[in-house]
Amino acid sequence: MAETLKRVLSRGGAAWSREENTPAAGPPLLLLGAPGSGKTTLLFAAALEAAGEGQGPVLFLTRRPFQSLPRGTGTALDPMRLQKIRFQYPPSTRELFWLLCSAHEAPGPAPSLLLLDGLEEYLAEDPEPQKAAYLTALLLDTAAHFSHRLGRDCGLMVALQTQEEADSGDILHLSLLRRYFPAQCWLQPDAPGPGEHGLRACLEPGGLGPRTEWWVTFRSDGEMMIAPWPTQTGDPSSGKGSSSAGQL
Amino acid sequence: MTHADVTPSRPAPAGELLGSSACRRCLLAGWGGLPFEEGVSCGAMAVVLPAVVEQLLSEMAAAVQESAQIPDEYLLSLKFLFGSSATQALDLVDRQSITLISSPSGRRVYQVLGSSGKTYTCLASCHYCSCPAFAFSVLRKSDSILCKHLLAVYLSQVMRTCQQLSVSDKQLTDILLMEKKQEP
Repeated sequence: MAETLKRVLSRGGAAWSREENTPAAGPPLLLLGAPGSGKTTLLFAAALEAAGEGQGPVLFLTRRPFQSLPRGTGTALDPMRLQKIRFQYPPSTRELFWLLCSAHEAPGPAPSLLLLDGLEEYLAEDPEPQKAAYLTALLLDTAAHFSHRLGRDCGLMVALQTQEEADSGDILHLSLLRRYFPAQCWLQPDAPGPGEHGLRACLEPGGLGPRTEWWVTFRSDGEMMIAPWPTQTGDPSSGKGSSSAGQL
Repeated sequence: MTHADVTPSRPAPAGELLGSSACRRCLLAGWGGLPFEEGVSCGAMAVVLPAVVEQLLSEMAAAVQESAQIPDEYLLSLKFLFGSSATQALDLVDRQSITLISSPSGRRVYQVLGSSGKTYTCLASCHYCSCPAFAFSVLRKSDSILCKHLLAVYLSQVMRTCQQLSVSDKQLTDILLMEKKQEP
């Protein structure tokens, strides 16, 4: 999943775009950030990206239906892609367990991407570490089963809300999750220069490559703007901060 | 004790691995931080194991192809890396305590009959065992990276010997779900 997310984030800057013939999903990825940091938007963007690749449907799991679809990252909301995203709303941890354990019984083609938004809500119901570990491990096992059915990798991306003040339970969960997810993307409030604001998206692909960073801001209409994080030698204000609209 | 003081009594064929940083904790430390590795060569799905363990297991798989037993040098490496868990795991393999359960969907899971008579479930695709030792030593205390049941599963893959059981898709769901309801 790390590779798919990288492609989504890379759309924001022409300098970073790469052409790939058969895009791989990459290792399972954990997306972390405080409330409002754009995790759902990014997850949804990754879903659209994978749906556009035509490798299979996308399964998006979240506790509650969206009130309105996330604004996305500037690319037009293509109804063909949207059709390929299957939304399911397990209302409780028990339901989520059932969904994952019975995933091999579900008819139809296997998804090429499995996404889960709001893992923290499911973990909060039952803070016992072994159950948390089993839920996490089952997510990986389900994605592995889909991979087996597809004959190629099914990506896995899970969003977890973190708090400014983490308590000991959160810390335990986080270290446990990081063991199972080789790749992580952190969304933290940060800005490249004084007087600017936004988030720093920091993608650690889990040993497959170097860490890469992007600068994420939101327009007043909620649309997400992504640009490569300016390096020391780069000039943050000189045209790199373009929106990703029309950059397909 | 420095790293230099801790050396294995016999050089193991995976000597490259154990030679320089011979401290066991060093080898196994940072399990969570090591790169995602491909699974063992004998058909297992990708698991998250430290490189040194992965390499040992694949070397063993190659060596076992020639003879039905695990050569002594590998047994030594196993004991060095895993201590008493290695002996217990080998015992579980000898007693045919590992069963690979699969359903028509192709999804699989392992069950291991523990020495206490209790059955534990180990996932086939990643690191998880339902036993209390896994929850405690591996997850909570980070003392070990594998419980004896998981190690037994990997060894049975290397030696290509375990019981096989076919169940229906529905039964497999129940087996996977059962773990949620187990007593803490």
